[in-house]
Amino acid sequence: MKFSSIWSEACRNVASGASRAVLFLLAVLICALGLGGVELGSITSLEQQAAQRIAADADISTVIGGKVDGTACDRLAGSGPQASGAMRTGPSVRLLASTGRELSSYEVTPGMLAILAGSGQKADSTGVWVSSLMAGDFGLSRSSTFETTSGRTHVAGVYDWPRDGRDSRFAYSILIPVSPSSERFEECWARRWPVSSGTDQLLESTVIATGSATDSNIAISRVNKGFDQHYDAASSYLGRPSRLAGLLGLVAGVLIGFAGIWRRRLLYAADLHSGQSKADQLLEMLCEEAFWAWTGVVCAVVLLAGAAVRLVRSDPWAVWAASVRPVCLVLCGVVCAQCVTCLCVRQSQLFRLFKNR
Amino acid sequence: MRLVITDLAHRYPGTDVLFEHLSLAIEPGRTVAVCGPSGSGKSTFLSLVAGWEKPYRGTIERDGISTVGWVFQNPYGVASRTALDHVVFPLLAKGFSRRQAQEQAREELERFDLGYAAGRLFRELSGGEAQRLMLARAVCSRPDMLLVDEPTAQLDTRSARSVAAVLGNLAGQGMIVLVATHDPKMRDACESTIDLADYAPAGIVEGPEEAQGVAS
Repeated sequence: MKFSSIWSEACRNVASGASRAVLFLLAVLICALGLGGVELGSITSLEQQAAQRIAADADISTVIGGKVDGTACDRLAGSGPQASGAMRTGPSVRLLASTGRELSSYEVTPGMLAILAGSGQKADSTGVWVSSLMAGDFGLSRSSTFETTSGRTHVAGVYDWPRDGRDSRFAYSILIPVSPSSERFEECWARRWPVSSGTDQLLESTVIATGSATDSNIAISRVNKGFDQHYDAASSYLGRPSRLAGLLGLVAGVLIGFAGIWRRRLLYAADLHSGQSKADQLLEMLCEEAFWAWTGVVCAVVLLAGAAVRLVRSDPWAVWAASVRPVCLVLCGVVCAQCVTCLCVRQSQLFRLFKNR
Repeated sequence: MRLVITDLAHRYPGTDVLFEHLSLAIEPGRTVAVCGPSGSGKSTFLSLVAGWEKPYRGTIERDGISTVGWVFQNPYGVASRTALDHVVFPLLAKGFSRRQAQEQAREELERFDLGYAAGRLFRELSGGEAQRLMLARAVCSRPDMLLVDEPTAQLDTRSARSVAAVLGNLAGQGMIVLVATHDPKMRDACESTIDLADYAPAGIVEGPEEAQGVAS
């Protein structure tokens, strides 16, 4: 059988409605889009959850209850944590603009400024840092100055510290940069995403052992206690219910592919009886399938890409690639089921199929 | 090419023997009617001849017969494809281009008095037209042996007459044609007859209606 004849027969079967192409296209599209959409939604939800935690500094751990080596603390950055720094309680500061009111201050290492500055601004340690809430009250901004009872003070940076469950000490305070090697600090903070238990050990290593009973007071805590302390992004991803979407897609594809051939098995047997070879029949079947299965899958993939671009903030293409996996398995199921079912139809079954129709 | 049947007998497990001691030889170009009352094994006889079932006893030699065509009692096809498409298909399967296949198919449709219906969808054909279409399609496959099972059983008198006429025209086409039927007109259109009632085991009694049809 010439390929042009195989192709034209497939086209005529599709155009005439004999292959129920629209029905099967919709079935593939609904299954692929539904399962891909569930996967996309699930991963996007996890991503938003993670982004919310990062934005709320829930990924910052701190060691408390001991004396911390500031230099060792600052050096943790790069050996696991993305940023780390130490802090201790500083002297109270009295602004001339608010007579009689004392403000709390904390002395911090440059590493701490790197934690607070994030990726948006430079960790400038040439002046003090104030919280955005305080900056708003006193009309302060980066590079501005203010007068205190001890003299003029330069503002090197302003940091955000919303009241969302995180440690409230920094919400309305002045941070004074000091050398990491100066005296000992009270706490060492480290930011690490994804959160790792190894960070806790690193933080504990910055505590200077005194050999006294106070060493047993050392504990690891989270800067923001408003979030689940046992959160594990990798486990959440691996344990998401939508991970079964791929398997369901494969099953759905197999059922669709099987139904596509099974309903026409008498005609397939009759075509073999009319002299068509099995190879030609398989090729014709694949050509017909290209119209509906591939079209359905391509539509689903394009729609999922659009949804990923609209919904996913960090890496839409990575999330799209993951959500396309069940779609591909739907297609695999359809193709495999169609090929196997088609191969199972034989001319010798014609008599039985006709009698049983 | 020749079909030789020697001392053929058949029965299904747990049932009586349908027929026995059936011996005959059929040459190409012959159209033979296989008659007999309902349940006498006409369709079974055809499936034995086709080689799709093994006989209980006896032998069937299909000397030089490599392809067998079947036309069933009820015509079946793709409802939304045209009559021409149905006849074109076996020719495409043989490697003809669509243009060549369509030319030949139209000739074949004319021979079966279906030229006017070439562009009609299968679902728009009457029972007689659909049955003639199945015959035209089977003939286009150019089988060495064509087996036709009760082609007029579901048809009205006029349609049955038209099918009988075209089946009679198949004589001399180089094929061995066996037609299972209990229709007297169909039987008359064929060149010779095998009456399975003649090969029924002793003690099997025919019903009066079928007996009348066979005896004419």
